[in-house]
Amino acid sequence: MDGWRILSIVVAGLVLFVVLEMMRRRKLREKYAGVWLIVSVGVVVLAVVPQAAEFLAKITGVVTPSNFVFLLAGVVLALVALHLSTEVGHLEEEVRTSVEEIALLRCELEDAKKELEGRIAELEARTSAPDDVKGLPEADAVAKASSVRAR
Amino acid sequence: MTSRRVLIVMPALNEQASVGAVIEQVKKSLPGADLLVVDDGSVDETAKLARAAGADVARLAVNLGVGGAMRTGFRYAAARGYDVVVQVDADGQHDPEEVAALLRGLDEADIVIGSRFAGKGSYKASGPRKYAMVALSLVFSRLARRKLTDVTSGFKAMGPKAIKLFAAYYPAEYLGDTVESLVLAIRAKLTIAEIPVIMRERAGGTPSHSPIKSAVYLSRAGLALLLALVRRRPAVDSSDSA
Repeated sequence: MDGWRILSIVVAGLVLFVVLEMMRRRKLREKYAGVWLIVSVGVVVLAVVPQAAEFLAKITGVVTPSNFVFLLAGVVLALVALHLSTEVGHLEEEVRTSVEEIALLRCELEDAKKELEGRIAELEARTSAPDDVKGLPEADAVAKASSVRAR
Repeated sequence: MTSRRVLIVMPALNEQASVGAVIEQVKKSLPGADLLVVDDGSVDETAKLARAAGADVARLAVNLGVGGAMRTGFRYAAARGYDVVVQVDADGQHDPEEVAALLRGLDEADIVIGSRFAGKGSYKASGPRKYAMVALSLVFSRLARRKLTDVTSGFKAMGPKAIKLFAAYYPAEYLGDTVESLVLAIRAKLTIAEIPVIMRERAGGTPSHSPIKSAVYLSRAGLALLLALVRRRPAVDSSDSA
């Protein structure tokens, strides 16, 4: 067997191995793994059966099979890049929505805090009044509120 | 008309020099309105100063641009039942005294734009920037079927219908907050009007005058418009399902 064939088979096998391993370790999500799986299987097939490239080149009218492989590689890479661009756009939109949501939540938190503080102050004012509040449900609430604040 | 709940939304990015003064002015000239400063990821004291001046502050953790800041404002307004959102810049360019005129315009339109070119004031753009604005205004006047002279103005008042639309979807891209949002509004059959306003000199920052910058602006504005025109109407869900 020619040296270049062994080399291409080894490289193709390596690519397939890396993709599978990354999937196994959950470093590559299924959404993106599909493309890479097809690519790596294709590379293996082309390495083991070079006649496949020759055949495909012949039916598409490309003179040299290697040029056909280059064309294929270019098209695949362009598609992957396009896919990644749309995913980045999607992520940006999600980040944006989350950031906005956080800002609005912070606003709400602040309002809630203000309101709670107002209520606590009111309760404290009431309990410090001389009349006896022991045994009333408010007394419990006050104790709870002040312990929450103390924390 | 006095029963309308008005929210002033002020997108601010590193405006600590002017934000306090602008909030004071807004409070003085519009005592009935609530004020939300959307701090668009500032690294200076903008949020603190705004809060000290008595405004509500929504702080975005990262810089999202005017579009993101405004959508935060719209969602705030939608969640709390405001009828009108008025966008006022924090750099002091927009005169709060003019807001009342914008609000009057809302009686017969869903969006009222404060225009620099409609006759009042002396603001003049020059060079390619001017051509871009003229071209934009021509296109938009046709789309909206009424004369719009200043579509890139950030001084706008939005009624309930527009708040509902923009709370769900407000473009975050370059010029999306002006050009694309107007296209969206027109597509959603909202009526757009404009009134002449005077804009003051910006307190900070300088408008670009270099020809290269203007050319870039021109092409980006064209691209934004083109994209806005060919894009599908967005689904109500803001995150697009790719």
